[in-house]
Amino acid sequence: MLLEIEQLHLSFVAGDTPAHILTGIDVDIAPGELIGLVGESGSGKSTTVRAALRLYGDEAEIYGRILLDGVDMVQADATEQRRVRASSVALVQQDPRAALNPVRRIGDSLAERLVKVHGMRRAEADQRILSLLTEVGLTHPERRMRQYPHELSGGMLQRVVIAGALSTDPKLILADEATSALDVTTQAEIIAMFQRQIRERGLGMLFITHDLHLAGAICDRIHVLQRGEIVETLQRPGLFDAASHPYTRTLIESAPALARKGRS
Amino acid sequence: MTALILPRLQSKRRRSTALGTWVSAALLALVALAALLGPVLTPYDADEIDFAAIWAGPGGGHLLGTDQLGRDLFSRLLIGAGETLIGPILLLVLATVLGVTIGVVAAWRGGWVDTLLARITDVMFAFPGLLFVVLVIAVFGKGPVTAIFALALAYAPVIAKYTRSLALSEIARPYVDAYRVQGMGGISICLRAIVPNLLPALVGYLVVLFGEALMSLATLSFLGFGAQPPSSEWGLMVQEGQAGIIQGHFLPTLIPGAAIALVVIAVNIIGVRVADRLLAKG
Amino acid sequence: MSLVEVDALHRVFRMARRTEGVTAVNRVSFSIGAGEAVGLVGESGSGKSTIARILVGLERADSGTATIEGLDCLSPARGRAARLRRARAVQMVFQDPNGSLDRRLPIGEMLQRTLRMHGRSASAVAARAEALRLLDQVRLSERHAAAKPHELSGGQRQRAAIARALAVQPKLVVLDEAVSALDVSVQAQVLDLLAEIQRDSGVSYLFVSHDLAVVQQLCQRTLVLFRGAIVEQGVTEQVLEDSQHPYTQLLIASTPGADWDPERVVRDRMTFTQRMAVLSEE
Repeated sequence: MLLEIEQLHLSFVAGDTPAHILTGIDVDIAPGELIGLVGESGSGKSTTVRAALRLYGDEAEIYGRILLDGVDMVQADATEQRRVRASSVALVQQDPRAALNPVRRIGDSLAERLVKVHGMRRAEADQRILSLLTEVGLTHPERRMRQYPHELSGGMLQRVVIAGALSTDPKLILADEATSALDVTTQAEIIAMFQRQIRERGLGMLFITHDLHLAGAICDRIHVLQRGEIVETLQRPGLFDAASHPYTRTLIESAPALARKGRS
Repeated sequence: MTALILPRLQSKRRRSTALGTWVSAALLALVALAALLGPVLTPYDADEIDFAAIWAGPGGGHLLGTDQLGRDLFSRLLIGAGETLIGPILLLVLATVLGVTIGVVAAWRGGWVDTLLARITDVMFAFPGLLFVVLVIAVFGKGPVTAIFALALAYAPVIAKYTRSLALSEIARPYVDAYRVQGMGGISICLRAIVPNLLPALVGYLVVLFGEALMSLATLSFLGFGAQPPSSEWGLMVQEGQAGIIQGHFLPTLIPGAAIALVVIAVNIIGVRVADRLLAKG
Repeated sequence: MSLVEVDALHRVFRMARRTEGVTAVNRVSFSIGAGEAVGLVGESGSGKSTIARILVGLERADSGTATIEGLDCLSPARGRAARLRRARAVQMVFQDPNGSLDRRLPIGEMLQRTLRMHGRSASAVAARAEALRLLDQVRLSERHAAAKPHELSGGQRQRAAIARALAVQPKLVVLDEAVSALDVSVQAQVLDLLAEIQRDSGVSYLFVSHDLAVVQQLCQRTLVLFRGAIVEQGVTEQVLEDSQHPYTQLLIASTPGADWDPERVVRDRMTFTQRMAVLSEE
């Protein structure tokens, strides 16, 4: 297992009244699996990811077990947590612009991490970045490395961020609304690339989205999150047909599906 | 989606600032009271000369002692509080009206209007403030009114620059577009929507500027360009008390000087608090 | 003659003088009938928002004509009467329900101000009653009238924004990605509400969206925009179920659904791009 979250509870201690955010979350991801986490805003999707990476400080109280690549993230000290975050996992979020330094060239931004955190030589790091930029489907990778973030479109930047995420050879990718801000055609390309990476590298992926149809089209298993609780887990085959929880049914019914002719 | 506050940080800060805030507020309340009731409360008149008690120390009939003309320092301090505080308020009101108008017009109109106003404020910026003020006073004659007008002109560009940057991000918000689509005119939108929405951020800034304005006016009085004798404006009191320092009489300079410093510090502490509050509410 | 007539609308954005510029809207023509909901779909940068903003007067056009019930909406509205007349022809609901409401005003107050500005209510009492009726129309209650925007949920804010647009009783409401920022369950409710309002009041919609499924649910006719030009238009079912233009087909294939295959979309897009390149060379 790459990720085992077992009975994760999280509450924020603000003043005297703790706010319970997550209740008994269970998520498992094996290599090669694409697992969906679906819910509306405020349901605790992003909180689950941040909690799994232990990105919260003292303000959050965490109970339960989080095994990330074999390391118990609840018990591990800060150094160990940092090591796991730096090497085993990668987080891809919705806004690629927030993930890149706006005043640095893209090549510099990506290579810096490899050189400083992973002790790679600069030339070697550049070589690696270049091949990854090609791999994520970016045209003119050499030129892109010399460009600044504002010169690229949102879709291109998200590819850059993904290349950066893959550069440290992670085993698990946490994609938090990673394609939500993109056009549908670009979204399809990014998803296709994700699926290729999962297949070829044996990666595991937690795919967080509000788009039930998207999750339904790509995920092996979907956890439906409501108010910090997994109310239903949908399995293949069957998936939506087997959905029984009323909240899941509401989600399915309210998400408009495009009625179309059967495609050849 | 993940808008989470960090409660720990907030509570820590609150505890440490509470005491300072209360002390500052109490001090300012006292000073304001003195400014209002000074003439009624004081044992002596501000210009009551008593040659029998020149440079008298504290105690006896004089709580804080007397100055070179035997005038009671405590009475002068209390009576001077009014003039010392009203000056910066008038100055800021004037500078704010001017600065906010320039800033909002520049942000709203953009283009050449913005460029022109930016150039004018740049020139004002490049000119040392005090030098500018002294220049104005040289032309229009010294006195508290000229000092206030001159300083207001010097402060206006600072407020204009600040307002412009705030107004620019305010104008970029879609609700301004919504007002335009509703058929509201530019002047109405600026006066009824943008300026009121800027006020929280602006008021916090102005409270901090108040301390600076008080200092500047006191400085001018000290230099002899502002309040004129026999006024007991604090800056002027410091200047008049100077002669005593050589003779070892420190209180006549120290007391008004300390009063200025304390009020400025208190205003700054309160100003930061008020700004935080207003912004959090907005 | 339809309610809205747009003919050969054209707009080029220039970053700097003497540069070639980007054609955001390329000779776009369409019409909207009274009581009709027309969808305008396209990807980011297709010019759909620019068209929307031109129609409500937030953006100018380089050439072309656009009329709403005979009223020219391209010439800038000068003077209060012209601005209000234009506002009564067309209103807009913005994407971001958070930023499109004035954060200082309670919802009820916001509606009353709009009503008074347009002389829709003779007295304060009448304005209050009318504001409550509008809130009721968008399924908000009297309780919400006193709430400021930040006290409401995203869906409630967007309902308030819709009520504000309706307060003017416009002929056309332009909805610019008006449900895109909402959660699916809230989105469904707001879409139902929009359909109901259209049925009851006979208002026309121009519904700008990137989401084909949502457009399909609300709109009788659909325009597909690609790089500033309309590549396909017609009855919604026809456009979506029997699309003629390869770009529309690509958009439909890209929308996630039951038998969605991203690899296939990638291939389709590549073929499409090649075809467009060949077409533009010819």
